[in-house]
Amino acid sequence: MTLSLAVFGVLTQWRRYPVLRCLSIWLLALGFAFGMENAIYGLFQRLVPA
Amino acid sequence: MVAHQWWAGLGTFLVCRRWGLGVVSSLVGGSLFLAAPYYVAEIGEGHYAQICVLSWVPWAMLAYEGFRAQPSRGWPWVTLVLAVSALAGHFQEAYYLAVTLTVFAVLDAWQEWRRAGREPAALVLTHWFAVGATTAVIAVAEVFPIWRHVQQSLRSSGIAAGDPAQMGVGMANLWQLMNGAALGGPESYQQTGSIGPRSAISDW
Repeated sequence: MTLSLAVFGVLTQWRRYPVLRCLSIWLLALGFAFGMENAIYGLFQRLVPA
Repeated sequence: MVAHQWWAGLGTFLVCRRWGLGVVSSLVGGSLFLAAPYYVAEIGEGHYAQICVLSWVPWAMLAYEGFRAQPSRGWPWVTLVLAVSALAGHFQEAYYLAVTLTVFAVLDAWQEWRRAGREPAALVLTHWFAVGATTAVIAVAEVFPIWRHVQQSLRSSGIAAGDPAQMGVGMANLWQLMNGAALGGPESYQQTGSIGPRSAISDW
């Protein structure tokens, strides 16, 4: 439900502030969550304190 | 615990209003923030400190909007909220919040530079530096004891990249966004650090 609303909001309001920057942060967080297989996890693992 | 739910919901409602959303949309926004899986999981586990920090996230966004409109007047409010968030008892979330807002500030400085030139962009960055420095001075009361304590613990060397592999999610977990029981239910749980294909996503 929440994900559907988010996708709908991005598709219809992507020009409106702060949709794009929130989407970018979300994608970054998702990339981190599904890490171990991509560069985002490795980067954050070095930059973010344990 | 209950008061912080109200605080988080109210802050989200107000920041949605600030972004120009209607009353009903802002109420939905506040409700969805409280229904976020991470938030619900922290409540379920009774992680009070995390709830305290998270309840300040929408207020930080609201304060940042004031900073964005007028950095010279808005920076003390962002500092205040970030400092309170850092002192709330669980530094990690406050750190992520500071990193997120710093990315926002850099983006806004870049937009100002393109729109109005170097001076307004420098104004944004200078005031954001003041936010960071002042917050760091206030937050040192929380961070320094944690740092000293960690130096004396087994985790003083940090966590290796491969250590959280078993607890992390993988591509198979994407199915759980469609069906929470796609990879099994509570019976799949084995022990802390060994939860098989199940993750926090499947709980909610």
